[in-house]
Amino acid sequence: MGRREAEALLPLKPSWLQVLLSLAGDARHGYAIMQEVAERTGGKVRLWPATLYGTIRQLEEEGLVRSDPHGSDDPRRRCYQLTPLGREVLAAEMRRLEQLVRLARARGVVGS
Amino acid sequence: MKVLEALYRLLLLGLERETRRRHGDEMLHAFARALSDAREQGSARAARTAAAMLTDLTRCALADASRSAARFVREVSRSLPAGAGPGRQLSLALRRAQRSPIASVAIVASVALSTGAATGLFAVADSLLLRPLPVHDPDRLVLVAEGQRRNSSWPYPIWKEIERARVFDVAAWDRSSQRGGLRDGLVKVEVLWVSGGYFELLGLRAHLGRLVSEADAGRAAPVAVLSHRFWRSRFGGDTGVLGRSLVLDEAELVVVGVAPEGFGGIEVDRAFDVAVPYDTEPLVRGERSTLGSPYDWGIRIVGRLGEGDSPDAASARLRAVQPRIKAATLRPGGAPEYEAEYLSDPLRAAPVASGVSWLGDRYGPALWVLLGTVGLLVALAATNTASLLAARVLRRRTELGVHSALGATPFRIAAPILLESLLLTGAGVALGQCIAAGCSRYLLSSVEATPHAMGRASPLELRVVLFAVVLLVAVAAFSGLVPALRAARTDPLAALRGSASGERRGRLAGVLVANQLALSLALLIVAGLAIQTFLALAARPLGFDGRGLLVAKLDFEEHPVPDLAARLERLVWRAREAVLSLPEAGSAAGSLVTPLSGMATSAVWFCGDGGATRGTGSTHLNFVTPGWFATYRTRLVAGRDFLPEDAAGGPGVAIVNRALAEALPCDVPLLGAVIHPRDEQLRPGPPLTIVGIVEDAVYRSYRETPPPTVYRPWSQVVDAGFAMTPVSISVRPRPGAAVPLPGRIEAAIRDLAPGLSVEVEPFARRLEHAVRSEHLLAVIASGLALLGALLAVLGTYGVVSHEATGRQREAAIRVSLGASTTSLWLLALRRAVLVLGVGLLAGEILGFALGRAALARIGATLPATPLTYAGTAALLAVATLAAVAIAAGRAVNAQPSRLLRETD
Repeated sequence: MGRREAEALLPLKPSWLQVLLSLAGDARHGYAIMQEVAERTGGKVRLWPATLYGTIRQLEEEGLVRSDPHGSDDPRRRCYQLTPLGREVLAAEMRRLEQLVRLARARGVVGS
Repeated sequence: MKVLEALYRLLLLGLERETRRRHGDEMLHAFARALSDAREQGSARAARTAAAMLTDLTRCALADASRSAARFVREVSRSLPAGAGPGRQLSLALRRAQRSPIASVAIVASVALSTGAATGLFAVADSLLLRPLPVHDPDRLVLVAEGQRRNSSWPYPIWKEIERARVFDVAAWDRSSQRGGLRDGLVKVEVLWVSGGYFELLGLRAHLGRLVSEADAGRAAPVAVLSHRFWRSRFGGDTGVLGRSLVLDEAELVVVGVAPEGFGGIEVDRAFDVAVPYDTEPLVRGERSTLGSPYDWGIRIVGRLGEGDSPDAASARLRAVQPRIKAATLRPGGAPEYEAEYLSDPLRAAPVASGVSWLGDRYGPALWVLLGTVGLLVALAATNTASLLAARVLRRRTELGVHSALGATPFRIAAPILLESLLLTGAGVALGQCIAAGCSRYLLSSVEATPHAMGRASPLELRVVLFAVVLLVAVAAFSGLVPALRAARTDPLAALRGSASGERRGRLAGVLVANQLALSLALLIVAGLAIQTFLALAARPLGFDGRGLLVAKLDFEEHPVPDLAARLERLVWRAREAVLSLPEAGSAAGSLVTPLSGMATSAVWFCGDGGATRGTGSTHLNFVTPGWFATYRTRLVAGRDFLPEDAAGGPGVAIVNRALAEALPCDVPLLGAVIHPRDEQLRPGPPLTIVGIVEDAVYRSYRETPPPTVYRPWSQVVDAGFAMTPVSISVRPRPGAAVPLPGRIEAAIRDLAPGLSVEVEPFARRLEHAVRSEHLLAVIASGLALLGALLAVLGTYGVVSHEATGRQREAAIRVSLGASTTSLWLLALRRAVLVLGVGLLAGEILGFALGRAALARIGATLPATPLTYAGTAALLAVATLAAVAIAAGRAVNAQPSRLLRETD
């Protein structure tokens, strides 16, 4: 999938963005994603299990995330990682947000 | 924890199957870990986390369900024949329903009666127990309560101490009835006395003008706020009411605003008319003011918890400051033991999101039992509908077989049956809404609810409408799915051959009939237990005979009464004489307290011999004139009744009941023993000699175990420091006396003292009131059970009759091959007995479990009652077998030659 196809998925839903961001570093299992998102956002965003795994399922179906074959053997603690496409989509979303911030700065909405 | 996990597991079923299959275990694992981590940070945190995760799962399940529903609708519209729009389908379903009018009417009527009763009961339960108060964020409201009681009330000094302690934001209210209104038309007005911050704490905004605020304290011109209902009914909704003056007893107040619509106060079944700042009370009530009194326990305290606060944490903070709070009401010279007990009774913050309801507290348990019972009836009606629709499907099996042979999908065959079910049950539920309104009105008028409480229980309330919709979906789904699935599985070959798979047909009919019988028997058992509970309670020995008694309550219109101590004792003697002079009065006696009046006077007693303390007991106390025990028919076990010689200033004497004799470990014979009274704070009084022992009798409440009680002669009431009103004259009419005695008693007493008010009440009303909850439960549960039994028997008849008709050809062949009529009867009855046995067994188990749960809910205990279980089963068995015999008889007695000719 090329860059153009990655951009077809933008803008990302907030829960998609949070999960992709969380997996940008290491592979994580679901509960670790929940904790990371809560810590990173100071508890303002909580991805509870139903929303989290619903999001993971959608991301898997879109090919942005896959379960890590070298992760835990325990099926209840499967690890997930970004696919190359997932990384590409995340980067594209970040560029989109960056542009928006740049625009906001240029118009004096936020300070530089 | 396990319960929450089970709930989460259950809710997971609402998610799409694929999500569940791929991630279900992971979600459960994450749920358990998150909950366990949250528990380490306290139970409040754990509760919030659990609630958030359950809400999240519910939201996702609803989103999945709505996606599935959209797919389903797309599938349905694709499967309908071209040109057959919803209108056409509806008209076809209507035509099918018209083809069997009796069955259709039976379905609509049974669904209407059961869902109507269920919705009506739910509307009452919702209005009294469930509906949140119409205020801002009601979940954060708490009442300051004591011990296990929720409806605690407090004297003024405690309110002030709690306000000062600032444990959380608080406001206070009190209630009274006054004469008030515009100067030219005074009526009885329900007044809500509020602290300045009451409305602000509740987060309310005025409908018109402004509400009472802190700034009103000590204002020279006292203000009043009208309730929306009072403003509409008394002032015709006139917006010019602001600034007008409103008379309230002795004061004139300025109307400054109208409260928001729908708000009647925190006490949901007793709405206020006028809200007035509490500081204004002395102006309104003059000398009768109780503001500031440490002895008037009428103030309720409501609090609002801060964000993140919990009732447990707030209760802990209250308990930390409670000794200081309660110390404000200690009387000087009290005994240390009493004080320690009083100070240690724990304060707590009790959640009050749905308000305080006296009716809810009293009738709530019975209401829940009735809702459970009516749930059984709804299930029964749904099963009945399923049976009748299944019978129709079997009748149409040839037609359905043709459809199937022509390539119709199972869904296309089943859809019209689902639609027919929805149409009939929808009509039933719609009709049920009219029954619901009548049902709630009957129930609320039976418990003497105020017009305001009756107005709240409307079937048009959003939650009640939602309840009715959920009922409709549940009943339509259950009653439509069984026959629809049956139709969808029609085997075209078998159907076209005309021989339905008899085995399967019989099995489905058997399951439905057994189900109906089980539900009906469970209903009958619950009703039987309700009747037994009521009868056991009504026949409870009280220790006196209240039937036929009349009680005249004497009080003075003005308080405080001048020279009460000097006038009271004489007044009762004169009143007793006046009543006894009536030819219709058989016996009469005066007393400070009458049984079951809800009032009580208590004291502590020491048993001593020559001043040495031997034992102590807390007892109830009453002052009675001679003849009181004879009037109440309480048996004198030993000694004597009071005599005119037991006069004021004479030696102290007492009559005690057996319970007191058992409670006091006196080692001397009780008759003639000396007991030493103390008041509630253990201050001593003069010694009393026991001159009589009477049978135990209940004192304050119908359900109590007769408490230890001491009776003292009426002549010594003033000396003992109990000069208080009201007092009572109890009268037992002469046998065969004319009925209109109450009016004559009132006339005989009324003029004995200026300003005396006399209210005569038949004692039977108290007895009836005491068992009203159980009576209502027994009456309504019996009605529902009889309706259920009727539905079950008719349903059984319908199914068996249909099945028997289907088997007529088989019976005809058997007869022509030489089978005897007896063998055919045995064949029909064998199947019926099997189904009946399974149904009754399941019903006994269900009835036993539900009956026990119902008894526990209403706090009743009954001994094992095999008669209830066996009797109801026998009743249902006889009725069902009769229905089976009539239906089977039609098949057995059919003419074989005619049948075989017709079917060939």
